[in-house]
Amino acid sequence: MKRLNAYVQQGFTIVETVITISIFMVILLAFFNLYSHYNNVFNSQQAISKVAGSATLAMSDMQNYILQADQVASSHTFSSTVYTSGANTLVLELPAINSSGDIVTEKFDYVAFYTSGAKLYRLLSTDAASNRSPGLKQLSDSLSSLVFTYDNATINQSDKVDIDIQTQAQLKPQPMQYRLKQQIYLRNK
Amino acid sequence: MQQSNLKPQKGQIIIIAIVFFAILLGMSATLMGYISLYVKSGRQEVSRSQALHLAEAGIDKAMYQLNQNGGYSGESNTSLGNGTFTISVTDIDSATKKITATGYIPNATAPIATRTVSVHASLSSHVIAFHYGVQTGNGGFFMSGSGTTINGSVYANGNIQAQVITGSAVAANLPTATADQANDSPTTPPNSVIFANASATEDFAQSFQMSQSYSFNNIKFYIKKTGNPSNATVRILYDNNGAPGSAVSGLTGTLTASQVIASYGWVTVTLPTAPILTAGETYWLVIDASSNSSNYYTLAANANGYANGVGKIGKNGGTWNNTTPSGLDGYFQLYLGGQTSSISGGTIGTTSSDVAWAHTINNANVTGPIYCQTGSGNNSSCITSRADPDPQPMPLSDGNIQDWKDEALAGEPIEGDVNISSDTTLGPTKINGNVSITGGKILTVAGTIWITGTLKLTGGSAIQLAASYGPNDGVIITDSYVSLSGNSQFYGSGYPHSYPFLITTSSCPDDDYCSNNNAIGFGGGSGTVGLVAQNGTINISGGSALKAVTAKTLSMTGGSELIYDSGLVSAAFSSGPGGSWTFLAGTYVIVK
Repeated sequence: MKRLNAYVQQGFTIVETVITISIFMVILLAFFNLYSHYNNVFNSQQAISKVAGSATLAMSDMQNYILQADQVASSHTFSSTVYTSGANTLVLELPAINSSGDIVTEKFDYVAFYTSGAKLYRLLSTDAASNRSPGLKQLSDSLSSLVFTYDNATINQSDKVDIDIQTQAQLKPQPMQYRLKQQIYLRNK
Repeated sequence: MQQSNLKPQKGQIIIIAIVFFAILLGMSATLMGYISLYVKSGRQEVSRSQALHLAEAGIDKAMYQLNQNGGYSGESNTSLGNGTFTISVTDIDSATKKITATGYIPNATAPIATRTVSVHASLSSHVIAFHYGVQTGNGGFFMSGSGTTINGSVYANGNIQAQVITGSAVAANLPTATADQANDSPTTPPNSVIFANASATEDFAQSFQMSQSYSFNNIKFYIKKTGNPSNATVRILYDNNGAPGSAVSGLTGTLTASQVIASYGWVTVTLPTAPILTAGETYWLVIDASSNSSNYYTLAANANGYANGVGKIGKNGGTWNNTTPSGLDGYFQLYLGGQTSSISGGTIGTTSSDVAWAHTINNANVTGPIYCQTGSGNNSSCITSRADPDPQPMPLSDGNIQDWKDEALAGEPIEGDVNISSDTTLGPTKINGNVSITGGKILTVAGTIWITGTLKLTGGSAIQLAASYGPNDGVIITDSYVSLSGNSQFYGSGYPHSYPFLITTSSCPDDDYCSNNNAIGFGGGSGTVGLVAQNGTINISGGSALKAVTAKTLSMTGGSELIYDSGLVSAAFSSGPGGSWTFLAGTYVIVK
């Protein structure tokens, strides 16, 4: 039997090195592409989640107050600032409620939904007898447009409010948009 | 066999692969987690919306159930669509309930979303005040028979003849006489009508309508004479298809010939104060003269100058023809009211605050002060410092009447007469015919009933309100007379202060169709009922026990008794068929 004599390599040949580097370059490139694509998908999903969630939650919040309103207020003064109902601002009068969730007669809370740039705010002013929590809350920071439409030319006689809300997030190559429309009747009118 | 002696190489590809896949897995997990969160958030929002709609559906169902059964208290875990709802109904007061409904998605045991809504429901009603146990128009109020009693106060826009009135009695004067109807321009009459000169032109007739149901004061004619005609009789007649019909009993006066001169002048004919005619109905005033070709009258006239009537020439009891030219209206002025009122006889009041108050009071025994200008035979002297009382408006307006009729029209109409000989529930409905309830049977009123004909109860029959009326009053309205005899029974809905009201627009017994029946004749019975005949006469006899009576003229005889309920100061009538439970606007609250 002939015995093979093993030998110990002392280093990489240039060929081996080139091949190895090439393989790593291919792997890195693939990895970069994968990350880049993932990043796009992630950003896209994040944007969808943000704009859709923002529009949905804002719509839900507005619905919650419109349902309980007894009238669309033509205007109301919140801490010396007057908000007037119109195409982009909605001011509602709400019967105040006590801690048991019952109406407090002849007492009213007021809420205004208004925009400032891409932000949508809800401002609530409450009667002293009311159990609602007053204050300012940001409902969206990705607003593209918000339009209120009323079923009566005299706004404070309206029975329902149509809401058309559109939110938007900046993505390349084009922005991500989400739009919701809803008709809501004032239950307490 | 040759043995290989290869040294194992140190490979790294598996490590790279593991790292690569670990990173990939991490990225995927993060992405999936984000997507999952987004989907979950979306589902949660949809579920919340569904739960809100389920809660509102629960409110709707509660409202429906309350209108089927006023004692409905709610239900639990009723399935609908993707979820369930639970309803709770609690009483706030007798006319208001709180409904709380909670919607669950998918169920109450393990809900994804829960929303609760509460509202108040109320029995819709409108309030009409009956301030007096008895209120009458200018026909007055007449009590007779020992023991005939009013447990309450009386206000009459006419005379009061009292027996026992436990509260106050007030008899108001009619307003100062004014010309209710007139045809008197231009001052120089353009036309004239000659009558009393021949048999075919012996009498003159002019139709008219009164704007108010007040007693007559006088009629004036702008008239002249030729020769020396005899006195003429002025009569008031019913209308008979556009011509004078039968005479209204008792309404006659005399046109005194000596007051008429050869040139035009206004001549006054005084008429009796009773009976009182119905506003808005057509009557004829007739100058009934004898004929003589040399001695006759000439009445000033114009062509179509009076909008509410027309002139005729002819013979009373004979033929009437158009004037020549046709369409002439005689010059006349019709004056109503202006009479002072009086209280006579009886025992009035039980406390020092119960008063008797009228222009004239005679033979009355009054616990409190007597306010009058003239009087005799009373237990104390007249206190003259207080001016005569003014007439009060009747509690029901024409608009109230029309509202009830409109409510009745919400139901299917019934054509023809209705004879109720077994227990029956009706309403809302309009019955184009007469209604009779016999044999002690019960008519349950489930909504406003409008009867165009007569209503008769005999044999201990009963009228009661359905339970759905709750604390409200209900109405049966008729356009003809009502006859209640033989121990008629009346019941409310079961709640305190809930009564049936029988209301007639009839002017009986003054109209032709009445056959001498009063607008409402109550010959005895029991229970809680309000009777209203603002255009006609109510006669109560035989120990009746009532709650409130309003009429143009009222007579109580035979020991009958009326017990006034103070709740009638704000009698709440159901608004809409059956006094239904409806959502009370302003009470909708999203609890959570």
